[in-house]
Amino acid sequence: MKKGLSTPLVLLSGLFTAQVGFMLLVYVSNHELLTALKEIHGTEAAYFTIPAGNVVTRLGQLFTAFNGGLFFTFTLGAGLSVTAFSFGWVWYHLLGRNKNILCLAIICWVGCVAMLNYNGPQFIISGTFLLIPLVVFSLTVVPRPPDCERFSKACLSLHILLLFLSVLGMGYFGGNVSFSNFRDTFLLSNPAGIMINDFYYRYTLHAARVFKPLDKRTVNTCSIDVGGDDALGNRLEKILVNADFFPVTPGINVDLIITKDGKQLCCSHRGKRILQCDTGDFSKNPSAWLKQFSLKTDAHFQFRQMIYLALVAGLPLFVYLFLCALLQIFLGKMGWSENRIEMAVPGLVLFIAMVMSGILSYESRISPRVSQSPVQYLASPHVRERIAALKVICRKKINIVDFQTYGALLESSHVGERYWATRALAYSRGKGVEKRLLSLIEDSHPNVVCQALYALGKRRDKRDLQEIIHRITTSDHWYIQWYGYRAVKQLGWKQIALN
Amino acid sequence: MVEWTQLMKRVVLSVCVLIAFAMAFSTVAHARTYENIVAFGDSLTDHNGLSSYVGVYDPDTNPNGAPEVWSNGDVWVEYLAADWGANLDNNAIGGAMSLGHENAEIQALSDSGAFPQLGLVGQVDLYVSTDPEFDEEETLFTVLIGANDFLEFGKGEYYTTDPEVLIGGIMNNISDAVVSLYSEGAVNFLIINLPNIGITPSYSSKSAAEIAAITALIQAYNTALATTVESLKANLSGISIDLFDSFTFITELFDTNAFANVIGTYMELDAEGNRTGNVNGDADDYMFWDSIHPMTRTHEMMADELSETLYPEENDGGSSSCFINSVQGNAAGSATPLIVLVVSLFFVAIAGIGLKQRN
Repeated sequence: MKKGLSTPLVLLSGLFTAQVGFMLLVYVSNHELLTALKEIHGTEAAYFTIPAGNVVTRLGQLFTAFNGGLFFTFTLGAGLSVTAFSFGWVWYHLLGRNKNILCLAIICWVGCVAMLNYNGPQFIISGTFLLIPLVVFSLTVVPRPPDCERFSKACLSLHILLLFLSVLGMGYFGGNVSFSNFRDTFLLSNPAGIMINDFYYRYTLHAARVFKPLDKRTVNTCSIDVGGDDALGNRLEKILVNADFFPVTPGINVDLIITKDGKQLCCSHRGKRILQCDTGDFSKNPSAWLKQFSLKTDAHFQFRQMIYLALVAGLPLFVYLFLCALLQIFLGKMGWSENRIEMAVPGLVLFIAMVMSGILSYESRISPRVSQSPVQYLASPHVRERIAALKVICRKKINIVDFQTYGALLESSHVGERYWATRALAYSRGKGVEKRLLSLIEDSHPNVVCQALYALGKRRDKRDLQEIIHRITTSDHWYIQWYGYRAVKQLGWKQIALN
Repeated sequence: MVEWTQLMKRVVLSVCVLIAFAMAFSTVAHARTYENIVAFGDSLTDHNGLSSYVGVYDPDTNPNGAPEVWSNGDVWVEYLAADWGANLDNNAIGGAMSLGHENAEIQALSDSGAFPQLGLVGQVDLYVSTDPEFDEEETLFTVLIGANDFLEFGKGEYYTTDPEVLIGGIMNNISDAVVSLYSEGAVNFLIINLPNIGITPSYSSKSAAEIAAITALIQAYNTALATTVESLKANLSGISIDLFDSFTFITELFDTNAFANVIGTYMELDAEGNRTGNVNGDADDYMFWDSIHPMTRTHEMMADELSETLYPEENDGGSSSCFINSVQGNAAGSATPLIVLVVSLFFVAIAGIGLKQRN
């Protein structure tokens, strides 16, 4: 391997391995959901479930699983790759290739993987967790030509120092930066960003379903066996259906099996008894019991923690290393000397990162002037100020209908502006608002549609139910369907058996 | 061959750097809910509270009893607890004022020692007297009180006719209750201001001037409550008090006709405003259960609003569903696993080096 090229290739090998494993993970999850939906719709009741329509047909496609897998690849895959690469590099260059250290690190890692299986076996996740470090580490410690073995201590110190300072800097300045700020600033403001944003929202629920606890899912299966007590059975079915647990034929893969044991109800999950409670207590506060059931059956808590850590630490480090390596190649081709490159690259990459953080922090900041009189800033010539004003309006629930040109905000070409203006209608009063929102559920951008559905739910006008249900059933976007489902539930809609 | 001391230095340096990174990355804030709720208040919060003292109302066998709940189902705090999966300790008593009970007979029983004092201050004293044990970080204390003080004041049966004295007295009682709980270790509070009594059916037959007067009085109370909350926050270190604006919320439901019938009552009332036991129509249509109390659906909507406004799961629409928010909601703010991993690796490295040296 040539020096410089090896790092990106090694990291990419980690991503490739991750993508194979995580694509399989999403495929299996999608397939489980598809099976559950078929079972639910195969029953007499055939309850209305989300996802619906075209989204369901896509659940079985490999393409969907591939896209869902990318979410894990660019978080966990990147995090695991960078960890394995860093450990490999330190072990090779600093720890004298000590085999005992390697053995103990392997034991530690296997222990971590075992921890992931604490609440039930996770074969695909475990396999991927073992395979990625193996591939990346092996490629990192491959012996290289002697001139490539050399590394500069000054350069290493510079990398560490700059990274440390940037993390501290981002921690200090980035307090007000959130995911939605990032989305508004870098994604919804340009065509490329909008494409990434659309991709994210189209496949996000496929990826998220993999690790969600039961109470966060919109489709769970259940079976109720209360020994001929029809009244209790019907009452429980009503409660469970409202909590998105839908009855299916009893089987080993059912999410929640309720059986009656004297005056007690036993809740089991995939053959394992999870909790027991008094029938009256369950009927009185089903959400609390279902939440407890969900907590006790949550097999992915550690997995989610790992993804979170990978998202906030692994991915930035991965991007940093990858960019450094690419820049090194680029500057080398430009004729820069090796020493100059080594000292300049980390600084350049971090400069780019700090500029982006600065822009994000600046864009996320809402000035006290805007906070004090947001309506006045709706007429600002700068879109940044108008969005900031709309955010304040949403937070303070100010009626924007009184603002003369609010209609123009809803027709803005900037998706972020349309998004927040639509959301603001949740708290606005006026004759035309309902009509506006109903037209906005047909907006060209899914995020705006979601906010229109959110606003309709908040406004609690039951006359909108049919329109929303129509939108859910005709949409091919799971996220829109999910928002619609939330909205109809807020409007007091209840599941009824279709047959 | 790398020397022991050099190796040690490198390992220690690497670990220090990694721990520093881990701590720096752990600064991400996250929204929260609570595992326990301890509620105090009146009939807007009570469910099985007063009836546990005077028995459940029955026109034949227990005409002096009380309803289990002043609605057609659960109250707001029960919906909130259900939403969070929290344990609820509901100490609220129907008819409670900030100090004492609006019903003279019940108050007499309290004064004679047959019942404990059932007003807000009494509820808190009773709770504190049990030497409660709670996880202060995971327990939210809620207070919704004052409506009965105003109703008694309106009937001319309060100890004062001066609105300023009335409001000042309630503020003192709320402050006493909060301080008393704080001294027991309570640090997380939710205080709810009063909805506009002027839009309830009890005022539907009153003149515009009377409605305006009560509305202004409630607004003055809510302003004073906001000041009291700020003062408590300034004087009690480490305390967190969220103030929920139920006045605006309930008024919005009323103004936007969130229910088909926002003026009438679900329960049929006789000429004196007492419930006859019959209902006026479909429960889904009504905002109010009787002349003053909301329907359970209204309670549910308030709990929903409260949860989303004060304790939002995220900032783009209450969605905890997308990939990043699903991950954040469960792991945000904690770098513990990474620190554990790094420290483990540190010990592994030390042990490995030690072994190598021995060999």
